[in-house]
Amino acid sequence: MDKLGTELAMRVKNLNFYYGERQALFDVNVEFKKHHVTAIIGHSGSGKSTLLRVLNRIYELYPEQSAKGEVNYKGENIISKHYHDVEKLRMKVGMVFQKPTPFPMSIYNNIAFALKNNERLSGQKMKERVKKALKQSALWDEVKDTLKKGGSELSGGQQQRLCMARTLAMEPDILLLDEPTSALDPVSTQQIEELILQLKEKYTIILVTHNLKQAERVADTVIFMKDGHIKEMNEKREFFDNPRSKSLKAYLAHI
Amino acid sequence: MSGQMDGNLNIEKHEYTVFEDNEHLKRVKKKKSVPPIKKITKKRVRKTVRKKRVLQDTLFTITCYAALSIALLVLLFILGTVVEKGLKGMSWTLFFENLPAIGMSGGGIKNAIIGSVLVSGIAIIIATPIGVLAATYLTEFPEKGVVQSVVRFLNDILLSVPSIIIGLFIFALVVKTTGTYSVVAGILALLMIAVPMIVRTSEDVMKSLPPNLREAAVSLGVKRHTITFAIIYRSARKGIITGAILALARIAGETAPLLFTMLSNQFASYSLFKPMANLPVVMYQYAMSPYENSQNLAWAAALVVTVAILGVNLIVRGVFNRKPKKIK
Amino acid sequence: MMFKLITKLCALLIVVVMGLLIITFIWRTLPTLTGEGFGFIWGLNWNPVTNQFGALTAILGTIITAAIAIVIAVPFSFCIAVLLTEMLPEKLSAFFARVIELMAAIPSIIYGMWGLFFFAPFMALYVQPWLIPVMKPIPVLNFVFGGLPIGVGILTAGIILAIMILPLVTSVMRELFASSPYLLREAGYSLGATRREVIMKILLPHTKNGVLGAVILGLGRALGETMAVTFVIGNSHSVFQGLFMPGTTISATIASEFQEAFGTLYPSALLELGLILFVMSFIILAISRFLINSGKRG
Repeated sequence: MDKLGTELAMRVKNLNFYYGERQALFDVNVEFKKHHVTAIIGHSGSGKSTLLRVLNRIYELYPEQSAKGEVNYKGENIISKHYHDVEKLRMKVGMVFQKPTPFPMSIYNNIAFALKNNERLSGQKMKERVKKALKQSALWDEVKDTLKKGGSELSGGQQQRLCMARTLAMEPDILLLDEPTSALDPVSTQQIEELILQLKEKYTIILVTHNLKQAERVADTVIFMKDGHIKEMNEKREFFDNPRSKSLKAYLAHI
Repeated sequence: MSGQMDGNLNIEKHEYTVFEDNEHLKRVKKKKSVPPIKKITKKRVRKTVRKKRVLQDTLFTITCYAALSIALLVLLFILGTVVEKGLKGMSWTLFFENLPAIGMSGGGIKNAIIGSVLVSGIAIIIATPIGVLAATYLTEFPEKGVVQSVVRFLNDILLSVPSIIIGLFIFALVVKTTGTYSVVAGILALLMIAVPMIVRTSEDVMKSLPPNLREAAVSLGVKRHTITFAIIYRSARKGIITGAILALARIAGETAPLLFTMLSNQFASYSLFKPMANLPVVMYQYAMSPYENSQNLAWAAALVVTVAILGVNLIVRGVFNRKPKKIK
Repeated sequence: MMFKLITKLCALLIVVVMGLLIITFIWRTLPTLTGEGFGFIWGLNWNPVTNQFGALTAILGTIITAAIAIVIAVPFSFCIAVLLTEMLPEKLSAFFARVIELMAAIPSIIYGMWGLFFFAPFMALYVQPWLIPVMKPIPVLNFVFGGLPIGVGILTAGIILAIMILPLVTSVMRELFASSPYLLREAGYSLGATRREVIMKILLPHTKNGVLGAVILGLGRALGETMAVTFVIGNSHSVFQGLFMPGTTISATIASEFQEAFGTLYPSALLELGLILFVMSFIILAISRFLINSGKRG
């Protein structure tokens, strides 16, 4: 029985990915459960970010990168040539990057920018959506009086939460987080991790991290990747307490 | 020092002399040892070699400082000449009257100033959007294949082609076919110089933006042109404008392209299809003439041009801020 | 998508213009191209009256003045670039670097005018009157340094060109030196080398491709320079008769004879000179770009 849509948010089947001639992902098969936090860990270059970036087709910006296989979301293969509504896809599958990238605008406009682009909202409705997004990313209280301030004037942790608010404002289903705390200080990191735990009730979260402790703290399911292959995938406690594959054991011992 | 010394500084082995390290004393006592003379000469040679190297280093340093000083001196001479002769040619009517005929006294350079401002200004206004859009194509829409490399390569060539060739080209293409020197031809020639400059500087600025910025906007499902205008251009704004202003300063001083396309006009004609007065060609014609009146006028124009261009450069880049990439 | 198409069109405009340039040049020079063919390049005679056009004097003049400019400018540029990156403290270095860049911003016609009104008389009054008699007894040199103390001439033009290309070559070299890894120098200094030795024996060999590229870039610029040269070269189509004799370059010829070019053959000849110059600069600049890029990577 196909659990896609009811229990699964996304299913990846036989995914192969290429940087030009070089293959980076080999026959990847993975299922992402809804309202779960799935963490992907592994060495640098293991393909974690590459996999993540297939899920919202952001790799398309670079002509030499290509993906073959199936990524099934809401009944369709989003990486097939026939799938054309990529912009809509990206509104539903949002992404937050490692380095916070506030737009060169006010805090308010950072969030309103994409909203304006995609929906026709009255001034009042817009304000409400912005407020809701900022509240969801736990930033509202800190900036509610300074919404006109430039986005880049915020601290690193605040900027990252702004980027999350931006993405949340689109009311997506899935959140892709690409090492969201590696550029942040420990306090901000903790704030983001708490946020992730809160958000998982409403959203499906797929998190790439090189921080094993972080995966242990926030994830429900953990995936270990090496050299473009998925080596092991398991529920968190099983994953860390009873690693089965040799490479995972080596990785856990190594760190 | 005891012991015999012949002309070759050959001190007998068993004699002791004062050396800096006493190792030597120990060695001398051994039968099979390095003769002491070798130790002395090595040290002395090392000392003289060291002195020579230090001397070379000092001379080199002096040479470098001298080079800079000479270059600065030359610059000062040039600026000094411009100021001195320019002031001599200054008059109350300089900015308010049109060009006198060559050889005549009086008059001013009003029409030449207006002409230069017009032709450079229009050229930049047209060149900037074209250049920025072309750079946008190269940075925002990378493509497989050779098209983009070819564009970049040809752009670099146009950037470095001597401006006289550009003047000749527009002459052959436009002036010969239309039968007249014209402002249009002049603008076209200046465009060919300005557009590659703007493409280059804009591309550099846009390339230096963090790729995540673009990706973050794309991930939100925003349309590409909106992203480019609202985010990319806004972030790159400063660099693009700087590039455009510097291109303006460059084309305002170019003589050769205008010499073959727009020539100049003694009168205040601003018709698009006729020659129009402009400062560089005026400077050329009047400075080369045998009349002192006209030469003075040329120098006054030179002073105006120099002050304007250097002023723009200083303001745009500041004295201590360095732009990372040089244009030509 | 529409937007991408518009940007692509703007970019392709550059290709179109370049193509048009080449086509136009060839088209408009057909009379002399077909008429005299390659003889044009070797011809020594430049006589508009008899419709004989030989480009050799102009070509040689271009090369000689550019060579003089390089010989003078490169040592200066090297020393200044080294001074700016290796010897001066940060703030002073940035300041003087800006000053040198300002030199590049001065329009070339100003250099030309300065040359004609200040430098050429200077040469005529102070340098040539003693240099020519001094060289007279020395064989070969008396020919090279021969001529009349009139100020304008090949050497003067070469010197002005040197002043013009100095900022450009200095800037490129400075960037090259500044971007080479400091570890290289540290290795040298820790072995007890003097600063000069580190520069000459470590830095220079490491950046030699780029440095060569900078020199050739300066050469390319010197070949095409028009206004500065036209004022001081004396505009005479005679084969080299001494550094202090007037001569001509391709661009000076075109600039000064353009207005009076009559008939069909004369303008076509001038345009063909332009074509030759274009080809020369193209080749030189391609070589320099290649060298500088490999120098930056190395």
